[in-house]
Amino acid sequence: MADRALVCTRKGLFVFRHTKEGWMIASSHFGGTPVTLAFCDTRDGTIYAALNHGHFGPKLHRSDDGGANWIEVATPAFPPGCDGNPALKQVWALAAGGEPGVIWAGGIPAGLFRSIDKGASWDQVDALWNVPERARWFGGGYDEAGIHSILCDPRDAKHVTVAISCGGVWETKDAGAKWHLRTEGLYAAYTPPEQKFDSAIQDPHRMAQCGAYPDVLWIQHHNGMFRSIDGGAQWNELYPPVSKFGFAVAAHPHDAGTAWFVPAQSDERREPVNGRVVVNRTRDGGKTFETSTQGLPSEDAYDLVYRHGLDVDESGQRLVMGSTTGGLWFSHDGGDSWSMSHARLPPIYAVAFA
Amino acid sequence: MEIDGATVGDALVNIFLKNPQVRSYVLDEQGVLRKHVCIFLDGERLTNHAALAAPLKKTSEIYVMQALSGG
Repeated sequence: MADRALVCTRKGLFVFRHTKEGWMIASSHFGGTPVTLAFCDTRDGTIYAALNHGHFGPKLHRSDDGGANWIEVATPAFPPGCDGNPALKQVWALAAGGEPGVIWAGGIPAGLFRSIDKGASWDQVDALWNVPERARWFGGGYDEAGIHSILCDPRDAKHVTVAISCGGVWETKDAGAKWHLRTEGLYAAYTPPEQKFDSAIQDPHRMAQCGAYPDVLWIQHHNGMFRSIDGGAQWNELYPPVSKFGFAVAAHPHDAGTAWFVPAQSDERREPVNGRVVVNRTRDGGKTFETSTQGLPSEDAYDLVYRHGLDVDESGQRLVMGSTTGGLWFSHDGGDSWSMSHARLPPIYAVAFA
Repeated sequence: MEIDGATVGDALVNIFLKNPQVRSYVLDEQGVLRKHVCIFLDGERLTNHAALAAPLKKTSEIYVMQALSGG
């Protein structure tokens, strides 16, 4: 089970260690700087941290020693002449796939980038940027559309699926040369009715994959929760308790029927329903849900869990969750119960076991 | 640091040649001055739109500053 967690906040990165006393801050890095995402490539233990300096733009750092020391590596960048002359505002997704050292990055705006040398250099996957449907993409939560989820098929390095807010779900089977939409079953209630099923304007807030069964995908969408058992060819809506709105979803690494969602009051509010932080878990593929409350705030809570604010470890037993008001919780029993580690961290953008 | 250049942009390029990593902190990848970086030339603040093209005198003094933003 994972005993190290990366907590990305508005005021730096905190590396947590599980000790006899519980989860403790082992070290902190990039003090005062927003760290928007962190990612551990479990193949070689390399850790990546995405920074977003308020003044100096997005940057990417890498640690080769478990988070103790960091070096700045190249930041993914749109090349000169790229249609629209975009400039990267934020690294919003990181994933590992393919040969050792190959890393994928998604951004705001919704550029997709690939590095073959652990972030020392990057190339834009320009075929996705150049799909004609990009004209219909738009920002969800940020001014411009962004890629927040990248799923690399462990069976086939050329098969990658990405999710865009707001631009749908896109799949390539040839390492990025050609892309097609995978949104059948998703719907948008935030557009005029004629556009409800427009694939290219769907807003999947977060997409997660079961590692052992890579065709099993889960989405927390702006308008509901969905599961696919065929790699995204067909999405089936789920009907959870509390609320179908939220941002985060985590998929069990081995059990295709288990996933966790953090519901929130719908988009007009974006806060816990009735002031109670809860986690919805299904263990039967979304037919039924259990709502976990043990150890979580039961009143007067305004904790929102962002889309990267929930993670599960390789055992499927340990979970970590961080909120916009700086609350941090861990579960050691698959989400049956939670315990608060810290209540007053800076606003948390993302968490990840490492 | 003393640096040559006919314009602010030229002077910055000459600094980037000495230290390439500085470039991405001041300009984005399309060569545009970052939104929250501001430049003062001979005691006057330049608009970001016009800053890079501003002409320099032999003795001009440039400050590259952070805007007062954040929280």
